[in-house]
Amino acid sequence: MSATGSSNPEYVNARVSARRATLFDEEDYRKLLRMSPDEISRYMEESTYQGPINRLGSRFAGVDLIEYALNAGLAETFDELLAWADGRLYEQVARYLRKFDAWNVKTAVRGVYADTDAESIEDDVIRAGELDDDLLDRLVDAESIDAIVDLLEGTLFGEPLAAAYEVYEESGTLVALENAIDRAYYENLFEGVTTAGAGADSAYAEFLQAEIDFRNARNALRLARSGADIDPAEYFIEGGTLFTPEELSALSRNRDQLVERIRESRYGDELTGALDELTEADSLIGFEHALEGALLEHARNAAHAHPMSICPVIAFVLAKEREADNIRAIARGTQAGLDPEEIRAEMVVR
Amino acid sequence: MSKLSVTGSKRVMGSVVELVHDQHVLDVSEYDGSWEGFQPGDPEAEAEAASEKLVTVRSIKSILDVDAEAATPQSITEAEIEAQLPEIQDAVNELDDRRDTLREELRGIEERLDAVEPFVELGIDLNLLGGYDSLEVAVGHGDYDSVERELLDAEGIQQYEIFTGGDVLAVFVYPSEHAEGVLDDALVGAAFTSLEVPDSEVAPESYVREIESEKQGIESEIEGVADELAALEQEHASFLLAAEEELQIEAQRAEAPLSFATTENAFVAEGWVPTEHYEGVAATLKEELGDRIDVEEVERAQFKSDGEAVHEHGEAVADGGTTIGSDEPPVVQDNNGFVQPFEVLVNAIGRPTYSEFDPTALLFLTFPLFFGFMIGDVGYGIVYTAIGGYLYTQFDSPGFKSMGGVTIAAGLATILFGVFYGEIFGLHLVSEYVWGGNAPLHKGLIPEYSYWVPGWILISALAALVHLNIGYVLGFFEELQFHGLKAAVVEKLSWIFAMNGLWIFIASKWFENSKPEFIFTVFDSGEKAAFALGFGGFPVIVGQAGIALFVLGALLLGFGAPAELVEIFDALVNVLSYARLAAVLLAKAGMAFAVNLFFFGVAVTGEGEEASWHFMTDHAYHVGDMYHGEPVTEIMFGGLMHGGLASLLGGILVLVLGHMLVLALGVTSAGLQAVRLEYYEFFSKFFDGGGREYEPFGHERQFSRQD
Amino acid sequence: MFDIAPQVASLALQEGTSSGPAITSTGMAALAVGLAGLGAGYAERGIGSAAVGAVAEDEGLFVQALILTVLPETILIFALVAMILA
Repeated sequence: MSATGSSNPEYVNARVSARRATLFDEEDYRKLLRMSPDEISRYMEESTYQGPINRLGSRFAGVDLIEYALNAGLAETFDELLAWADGRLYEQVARYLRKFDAWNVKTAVRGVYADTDAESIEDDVIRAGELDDDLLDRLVDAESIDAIVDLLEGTLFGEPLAAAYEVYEESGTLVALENAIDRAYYENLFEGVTTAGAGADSAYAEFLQAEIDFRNARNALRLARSGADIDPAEYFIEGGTLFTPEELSALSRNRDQLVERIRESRYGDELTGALDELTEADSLIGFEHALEGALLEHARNAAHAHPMSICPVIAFVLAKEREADNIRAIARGTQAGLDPEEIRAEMVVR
Repeated sequence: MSKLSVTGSKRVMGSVVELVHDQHVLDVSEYDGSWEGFQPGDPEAEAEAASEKLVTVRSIKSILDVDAEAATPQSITEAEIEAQLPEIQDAVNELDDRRDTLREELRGIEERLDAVEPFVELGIDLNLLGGYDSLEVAVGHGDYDSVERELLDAEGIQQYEIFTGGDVLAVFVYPSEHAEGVLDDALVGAAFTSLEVPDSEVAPESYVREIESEKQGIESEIEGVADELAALEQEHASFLLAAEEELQIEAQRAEAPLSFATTENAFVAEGWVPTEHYEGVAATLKEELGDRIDVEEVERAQFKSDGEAVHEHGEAVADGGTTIGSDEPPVVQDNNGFVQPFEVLVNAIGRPTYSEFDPTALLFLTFPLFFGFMIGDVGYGIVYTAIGGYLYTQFDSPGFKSMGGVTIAAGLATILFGVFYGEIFGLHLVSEYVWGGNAPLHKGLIPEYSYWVPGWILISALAALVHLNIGYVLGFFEELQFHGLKAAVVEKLSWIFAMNGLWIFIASKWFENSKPEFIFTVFDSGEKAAFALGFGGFPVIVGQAGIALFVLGALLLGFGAPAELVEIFDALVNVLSYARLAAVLLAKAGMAFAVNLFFFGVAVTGEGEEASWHFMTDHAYHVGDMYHGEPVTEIMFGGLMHGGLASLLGGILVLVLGHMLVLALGVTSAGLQAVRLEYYEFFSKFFDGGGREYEPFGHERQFSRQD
Repeated sequence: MFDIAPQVASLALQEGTSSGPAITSTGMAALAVGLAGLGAGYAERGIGSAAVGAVAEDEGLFVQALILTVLPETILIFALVAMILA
């Protein structure tokens, strides 16, 4: 509801666990994998996406309908989370959900960069987070990256973006801008979260550290893979515990060492499967999926251990996002004529 | 329930689905993917088109807000849907778009209206607030003094003037020559937030009037669109509902293979049917499709598990298990009319599974008893029964109906106990007219009868022992059947020993002096015995045997699972928990007494432990008056009834509201406490729930006909 | 929770005429009931909050939610027993 009043984790987490139970499970996915896009949207209508599908169903069909409904469904769900939470919990949830602000800003920047038309940018915008609809509309319509940076003046992305814009002008690649957005988001996230002690707060902090560590590892691998001559250390996000920037740039050049490093860390146990997969399959996509699965599991464990913290909400947010990604993968895969096994490989089900 | 398995060539899969769908008795089992070489089936091709239209129909339904109540069933064909749907869709989309645009406009207008509001307060014509060459103007919310101070300090200002209206300021500045933007610079330091001046030539009031008439225009346009949508709803509601149903059935049928195990050419489908329907379904399938399919009963489960499960190997079952999925059979509860409403209370915890005893009948026997005991009042009982009757007769929803049934039972029990307590709405009228002033039972609120209170606590404990023993015995037999004698003994018999042993000791004369005295008096004889049964406690030797039994139970429990030993005090606590029966009895009596005390007033006769309280229902008494042959020693409260008209009216209000409150709290305290005893103390001994509802594949047509 | 008020009131009524220590054993018992009520109330705050959340998501949970919410009342029952024995 608002940041005033006292925190109400009991209420919010009760609702969140009920929502968790309605997420698609293995059996749902097994069926979805064999359905056509229109059947998938009908299946969604019969589950938690009823509102968005009914709102959009008379105008769209097929994969389009699914994509729009997924984004609308996410926004709806996350707005509800904010409506439920009070006090400190609200503040933490709101801060976390700003990842959609970050996502939307990135979407706008990428859109301008790739010269995509406003309509397709609009399709990818997820209207959750703190940036209001007006601002989002203007971001979508923005003609240049310069204009986007101007529009965001005064928000938490304003200054970092302005600084990164200079780098962008020199280099002409988006990495600097995207990284600035991520950094601004994570910095804001850590405000007011203590890492000390063993309470609910430190569980949350630990989760955030894991998220950042995983993201750093992924970015480093991506950069190393791309062969671009960029030092991963430059795009290091502060706040994790696993790597220092220097270590990361060293490790990114030797993947076996990187894997070993993660295996020995506190995430080793949770990631065993993912790490084995990485060593064997030699696929970056596989590793990214494994990382994501591990993060989901990490969040769920934290939620289980600290039911009175924000962790259950975070675990739900991640799971819900994952559900949307899975459905999207199924819809797109089915349309592209992939068979169920191939699509299954693109999904993360935990 | 029997598990029916159909195996056949894929060519007849569609016919099998259709036949089974029409029968509407098969609860289809999901293929769990466990058989080598068998894939889940793919939906039939029709599923896609049907789904697409279904999504559209449902979307239109939700936009039009279709009311299912008013619809009449109509016949429908696919061709009709094909022909009519796009037309309706276009019309609805167009109207919906128009409504969206209009709403957008309305929002814009409302924003403009909000923006002009401060200028109305200010009262200066809008065209005077800007457009000067030599003047700088700013309008906004702010603090007069702070603005003035900044203006005085600022450089380049020759003259200024501040107009105020409400908390809005309009600041006019005449800058020195060549100075520009001085006002903005000056205001940076002031407590001032500026507002944009609306673009208009007229006085703010007339500007507002303009916008408002524009707003009205749009609002009436929106209404027009809403009317058109309502007309569309009227016209097409029945069609949409029928189409939805038809498409839903089509999609359901076409997607049925998703639950089957299939190979290139063959399929296996399974599901549960009530055993009495098995022959019928199997015969129909055989009749229609003959040798092209193979129908088998691969498993049979019977409620209460006393029947043995039949496991036969079908021919198609080459490897893996005997069935395509290992699901529990669905459960259909079978209770007669009186007991049936209590299923709602059982299902709130969980549907019984196949291996469990359905406790509905026990709930029917005990819940009203607990409730009636706690409230025990003819008046309240009648009201509860009436409410229950209303719920039962006036609602169609099974949930409400069931709650109605439960409430009726609880109400009747309340009346019954009320007769024995001799109370109606807290007054002792029943006692006077039925029992000649001497009701057989007393709640124990009045000091004269306060010796009944410990009696009720013991009665509660006795009720607990009976109730819990039933629970443990049921649990014992369930364990015996499913986990063998050892589990039954260490997990359930141990508790029976421990609990009964402990309470035999408590009721014995061993360590008599350390125990509360009432244990030995209330069931004894003489004046202070609530129930003169002549029971003064078990002999010492029995008490010692009780302790021995308790220890034996604890040992058995520890033998099964040492960690459970810490729970041994449940033998005491679970029973004591039933003291809530006595506690709520007193509390409810106290509340009803308080309400009546306010209205009628109470005269006290006798003193201390012998005191008796009497409502002054006829006239006011005074200390020293005689009440039914006893001198009145004290007036507890004079009673609003006896204090003039205003007091009487106030009193009636207190009386009515008070009793309504007692009634409502009766539900939340007595109802909840009784239900809690059932769920928590009782059910935990033998009941887990978690049974699956029987959902047969098929559809009961409501809105559509097939001609 | 509402159940205690008349209990305490009737206690006070019975105590009207006696004299003795500042707090009699019945008074202490009443205090015990009150404190137990406070404890139960505190426990129910959290449970109730969660229960309302659960019911908002699934009305079918209403009965379970109610039951869970009143579970802490058990402590009050023990307090009442203590009071009667006092």
